Amino acid sequence: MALPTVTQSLPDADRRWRDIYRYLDRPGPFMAEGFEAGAAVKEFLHSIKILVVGAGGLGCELLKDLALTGFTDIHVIDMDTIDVSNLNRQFLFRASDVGKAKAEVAASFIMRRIPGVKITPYFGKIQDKDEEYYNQFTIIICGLDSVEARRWMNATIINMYDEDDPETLKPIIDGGTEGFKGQSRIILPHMTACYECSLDMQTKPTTYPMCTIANTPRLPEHCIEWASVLEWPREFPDKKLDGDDPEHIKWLLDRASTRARHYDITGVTYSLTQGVVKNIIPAIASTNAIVAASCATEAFKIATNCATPMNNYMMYVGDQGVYTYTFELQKKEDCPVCGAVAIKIQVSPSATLQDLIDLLLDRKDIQLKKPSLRTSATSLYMQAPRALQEATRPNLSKCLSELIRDGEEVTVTDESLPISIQITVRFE
Amino acid sequence: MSKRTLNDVSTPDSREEGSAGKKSKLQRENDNNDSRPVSTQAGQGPTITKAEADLYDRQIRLWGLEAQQRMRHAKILVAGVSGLSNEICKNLVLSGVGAITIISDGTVEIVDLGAQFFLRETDIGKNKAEAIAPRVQALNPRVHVEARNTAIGTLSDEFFADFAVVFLCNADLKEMLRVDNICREGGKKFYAADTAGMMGCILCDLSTHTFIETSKSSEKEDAVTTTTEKTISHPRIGEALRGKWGVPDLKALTRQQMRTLKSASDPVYFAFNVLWIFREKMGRLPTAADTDLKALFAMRDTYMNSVECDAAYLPDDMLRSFAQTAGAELSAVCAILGGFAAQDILKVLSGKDAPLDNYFAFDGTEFSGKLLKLPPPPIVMVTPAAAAPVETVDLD
Repeated sequence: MALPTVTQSLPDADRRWRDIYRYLDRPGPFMAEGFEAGAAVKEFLHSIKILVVGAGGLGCELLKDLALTGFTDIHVIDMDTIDVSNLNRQFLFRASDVGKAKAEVAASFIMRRIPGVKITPYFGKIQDKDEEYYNQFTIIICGLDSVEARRWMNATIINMYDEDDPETLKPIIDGGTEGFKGQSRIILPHMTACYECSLDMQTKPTTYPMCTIANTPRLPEHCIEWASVLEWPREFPDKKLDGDDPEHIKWLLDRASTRARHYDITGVTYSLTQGVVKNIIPAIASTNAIVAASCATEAFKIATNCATPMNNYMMYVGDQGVYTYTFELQKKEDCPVCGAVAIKIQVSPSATLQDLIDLLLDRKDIQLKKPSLRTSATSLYMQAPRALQEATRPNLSKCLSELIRDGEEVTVTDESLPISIQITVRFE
Repeated sequence: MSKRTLNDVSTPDSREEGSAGKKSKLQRENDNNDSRPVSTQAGQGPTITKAEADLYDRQIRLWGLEAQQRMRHAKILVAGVSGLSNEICKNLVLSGVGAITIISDGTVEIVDLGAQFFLRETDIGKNKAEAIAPRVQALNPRVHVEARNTAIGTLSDEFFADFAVVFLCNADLKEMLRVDNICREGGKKFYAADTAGMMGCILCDLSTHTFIETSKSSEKEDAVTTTTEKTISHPRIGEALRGKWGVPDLKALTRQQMRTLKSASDPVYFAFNVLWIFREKMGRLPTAADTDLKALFAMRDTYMNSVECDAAYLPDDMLRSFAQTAGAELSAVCAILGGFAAQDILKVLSGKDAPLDNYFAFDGTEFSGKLLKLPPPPIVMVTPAAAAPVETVDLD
């Protein structure tokens, strides 16, 4: 083995990392297959590069736990700046940090606390980085706050996998929280269920029918949606509604309250208005601590094999006492990202291309926004570039049977996601 | 994007160091409650400053303004400074409780830096409580954080009078029992917790505790929300931990009885009890040395016998591993236990939702947590006939 140079460079390693080393110095009854105690596994732990995606509620806790668990080369990405409402749980930030970049402040706090640890921050979007960037990491741990970001991350990492190069197989540990609930899971590309496999498990955000909003409101939320979705564009056709602007919220509050009074509805408050417009999710310190710690523990186990990693999804519910359940989420054969088989879709022979697109938009397990479709022979409908979109637009109203054969494979892409979905279209 | 900033600034140059001990301007505001109260809707009683409403926005949306108000006035005692207590203090202070007093008579050593996030190298040699207090304070200047360089054993009963909740971290069983009794007399809520490598436990004695539970009749819009009031009664810690199991021979159990035993207990629970016995007898934690293991196994046998549980339920292998890692503190395990513990305290303070009732056993190797109700229920139902003494016939 090469000299344990990173371990040697850490000040006082044997005392600072004494407790971690207890799990790495000798074999134990819980060790996973392939565990080898000794200097090599310690060196590996201290020298690999890992990525933390997000420096918010989960990110702060992750950086703390990972750095204290022996990872010394950690990168962190976050595109946000610090807001006062973050301070009830994102404990690496102080009141004087409001307005600064989360990734940078988090990195500097951790580095001041733990000598020998290097945190490299990036203040920007995950989409700014390319495969070459992501390829340098051994493990990727996500503490993201949106379905879209997770899908992008999941698809990018899984698509990177090259059978001939085992280094391109990157485990993803994904955590999420909401109020007292949360989950952590391990994704081993092409081996376990990926994020896309479980897409239809995600709870849909609450949406209200337009007719209710426009004509028959019953809840304060309906009044707020009416103000934000209908009234605002009518009054300010050129101004985009900004949920962070108190003036905008006040305007909505005023309009929504008037409407609520008219319909005898109570409960329209500034807080609720903000919550509806910004889709605010409640968040507390303890849930983030628990879920992040679970993710960090899995990272430690994966990096060292000192114990068997989770297989593969842990659900946590803290409303009533404490409840956790760990189960094996099944991989989907026809998963658009990691599946080998195409998704089968049945349509009536008289269906048009537009009908097929509407079907795709509707399906919970696909969830695309602006799909483009093509076959191996031709483009059916492309959203971009403009010239191609105009050229293919007439296809939308054409019968599918005119455009494709029964059972033909159609490739569907969406510019917001680095994935292409294979569907087999059958006429019934 | 325009972001709101705090209107009032926290203590000057409080980059990390707060000033623990003295009340800050914000803490006095808390007490007087006279700066810029936010008018709450529907004529609700409690008022909170606008700055607090902004800071606690995300959690008020979860548990409501009234719960936040109750927390705001609560004083909590955290005894013992360890990875676990660092996490508990962090979570409580971030959530905005009224005050926390941290006590320890220990001195910071370099090994403590491994899992105690609020310690720094420059703290080595200092009293543990005094070292972490300013860092914990800096998380939220509104909370009054105090440190006392003292052992819990030397504190008089009167000392505890001020607190609503008392939390003992990594304490001796003797201390847990004594302080629990004091809390009982004074109507205080008692919690204790310990970690050992990847295992952990939390136990509590909430005496008689009343809380409300809300439930929606359905997921639809027009669902009716019902609020019910419930009351639970806890046994004292001593009574909880000395409960008998009635299963001296695992092999004699039916499958059903085995299942009942497995859901009502956990090897982690027994392991901690044995660990505490060892620590009390030897004045230290066990190591992996042969002599220690021999003593540990013997203590296990005696203890399991006394609570009528087959010693095979806590096998040698598991106990050995437990001993090997007993003194090890892992940041992630402390974070998990600290998260559960803190939020349970917050639930108890707010009077909303069911709290721990009354023991939580955590096994980090499998990430499994089990809620136990102690003392245990009868595993094996004893019928009157079986209980009658068997007549022995002298065959001589």
